[in-house]
Amino acid sequence: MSKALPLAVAGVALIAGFVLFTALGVGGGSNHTVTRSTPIKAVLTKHESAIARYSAQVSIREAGTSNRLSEDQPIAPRRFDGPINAYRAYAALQARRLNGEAARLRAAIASGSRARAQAAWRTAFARYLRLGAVYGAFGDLDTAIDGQPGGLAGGAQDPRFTGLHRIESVLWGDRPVRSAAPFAARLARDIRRLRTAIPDSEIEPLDYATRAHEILEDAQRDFLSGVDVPWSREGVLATASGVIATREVIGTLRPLLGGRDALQPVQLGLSRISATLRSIRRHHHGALPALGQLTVSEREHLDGSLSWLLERLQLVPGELETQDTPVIPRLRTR
Amino acid sequence: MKPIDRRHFLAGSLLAVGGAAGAAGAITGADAGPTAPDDSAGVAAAREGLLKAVAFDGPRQAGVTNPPPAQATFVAFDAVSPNASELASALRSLTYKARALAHGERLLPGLVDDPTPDSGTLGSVVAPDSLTVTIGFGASLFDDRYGLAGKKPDGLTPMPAFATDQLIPSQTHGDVLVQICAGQRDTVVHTLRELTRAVRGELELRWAIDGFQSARRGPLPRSSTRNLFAFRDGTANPETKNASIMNQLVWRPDGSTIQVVRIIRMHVEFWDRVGLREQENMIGRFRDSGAPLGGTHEYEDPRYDLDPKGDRIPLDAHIRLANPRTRQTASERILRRGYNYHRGFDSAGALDQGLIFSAFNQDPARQFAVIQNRLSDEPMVDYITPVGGGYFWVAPGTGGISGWAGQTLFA
Repeated sequence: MSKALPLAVAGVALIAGFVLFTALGVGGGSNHTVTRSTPIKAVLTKHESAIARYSAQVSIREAGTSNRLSEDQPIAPRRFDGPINAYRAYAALQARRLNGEAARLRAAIASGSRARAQAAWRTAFARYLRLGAVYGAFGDLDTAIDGQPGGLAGGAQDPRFTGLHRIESVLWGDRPVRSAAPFAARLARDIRRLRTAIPDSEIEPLDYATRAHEILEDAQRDFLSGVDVPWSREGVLATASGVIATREVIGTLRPLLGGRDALQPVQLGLSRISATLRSIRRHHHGALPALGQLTVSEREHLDGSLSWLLERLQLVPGELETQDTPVIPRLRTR
Repeated sequence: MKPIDRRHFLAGSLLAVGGAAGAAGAITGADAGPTAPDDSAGVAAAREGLLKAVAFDGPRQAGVTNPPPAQATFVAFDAVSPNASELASALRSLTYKARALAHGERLLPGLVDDPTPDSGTLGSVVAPDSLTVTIGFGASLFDDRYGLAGKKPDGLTPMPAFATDQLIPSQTHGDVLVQICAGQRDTVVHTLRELTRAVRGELELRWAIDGFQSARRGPLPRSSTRNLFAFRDGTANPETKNASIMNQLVWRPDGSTIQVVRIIRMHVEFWDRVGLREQENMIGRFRDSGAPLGGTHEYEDPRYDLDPKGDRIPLDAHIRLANPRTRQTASERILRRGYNYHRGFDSAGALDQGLIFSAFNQDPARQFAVIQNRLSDEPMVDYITPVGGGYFWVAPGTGGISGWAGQTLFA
């Protein structure tokens, strides 16, 4: 029984904390704010009693009357003009190169040589992904260039499935290389349209800030997992392109991020994953290997470098808010 | 084997249940040593839980409107029986075995030289443990293999691929779906093992996935539990105790229903790297309380009529698209009865966790598919990937102890 007593006390304390927690109206209305910067984690240690934990949370929530997601002052939207223009120029350059590479892919496919066509595809695919931050800005054109067959009734055989991945399915499949020719022609046309669209593309500050981390979120979700490169398994190559695009985005944002907490860790993370990729390339005779060729150790280091960087990049959008987060109006039914 | 006797079970299984209670005790009393003091209250509670039984026979199958117990496995089979009469016989065996396990049974000793009819993994007393076994049929079964082409139930089609789906064939569709739900994991695992034994050589495993319910952590007894995005799930579910609503939305006149299963991977690492307010705007509710944004309690009406421009709850928030709460959309509603899943991690080192979305409706074309198409552009799509599942016609109930699931197809 002597051992049961402290447990019972803790139980009562826990219930008391819960009642207090609920009575103070946590979770309702405009004071429902847990900011990123609240020190809940620091307060929470396993040695602390339940009542202390709950009291701490309540006081944080009670004090948390600010509606900001970040401690930093919002940034004026026009300050994004410079970074976004710089990125557009970078994207235009990438698209110009992609244009030539798409033409070479078309020629390689016409030659009927699978090895040549695969190499040309790798070059064009890696280039397209370097555009990174303009994804989603072109709607249907995006889908035509790098869409997946998932939502189509006919799957990978559906005529609406076009672009890089349609070609990938032929080059790494059983069908003759030349059967990809119509798709390569279509791709070349779509890339020409992309080139003309980039200078006029609309990129909002909020989207640009978000893409600083979403390019590599996509790399983890779609490429290192292999999901979006089911035939070629070129997930490492795709991730490397995402790193290049992210470095470019962060580079353009340096004037805005200067002095804020996220910049230095992000730069460290970019250096770390770049070093990991260089080391992998060195061990695979100068080329990034397909996912299946990575050793367990290479795989773990690459996954780890990417995760580490993503955990740092998650702070970037909050530091680039252009306005205080709006207060949620109260629901009044009477 | 004979049906379980309640009194007998109480006496006979005390030891076995004591082990389970010991494990539960370890959570509440961390310093209880190996010579734990008498925990008779815990033993009694665990035993009561194991003793709960859900009626197997009736006009409708169980496992649809009863509250979901903690554990589940969804398993799809393809039929490989050489002919229709063997398939019918396999379905009969499947039903009989399921019925016996759902009632609970006491295993009788057999000849020691023979393999035992039950694997014995639950001991010699199989407690019912709220077990339900729900048997459904996919559109693929209704072809010319077994002469069922003309018997396909109205409204049953293969599950279409929706806009952002990345369906993996080896985790999608199937001739027969068996949903196994029970209070304890070992009950579910034992049931699956015994059921596969009953249909061996007739039904071959196509895919399977294990699910669990989050514990009821309050603050109120009726507070909904959380999914793996940490949001309360099921708040707006139609009332299962209201027979008239169930007859409008779930049950068809013959006592059947159509089950929609979707294996939805949730990219939890990505989700965890998103600001709380952004998460809440995607869902349309406060994460902590489950109240609609701007509101104070979970079951409050979100009152979209007072918020036509989405100042309070964004127009593309999940709850707003899924259930706009208008008169026109009332008949689209579905009964969700999902389970969380966790099954290791992918090759990018990211956890493979998500939702086994499971819902019952009369007609997916009128209900589920309409809702799903409305959700195709919701901001949450970046954080989830549907990878499997299917549509399955849950046959009418057995009607009595000699009936079996699917009997009307072979009449």
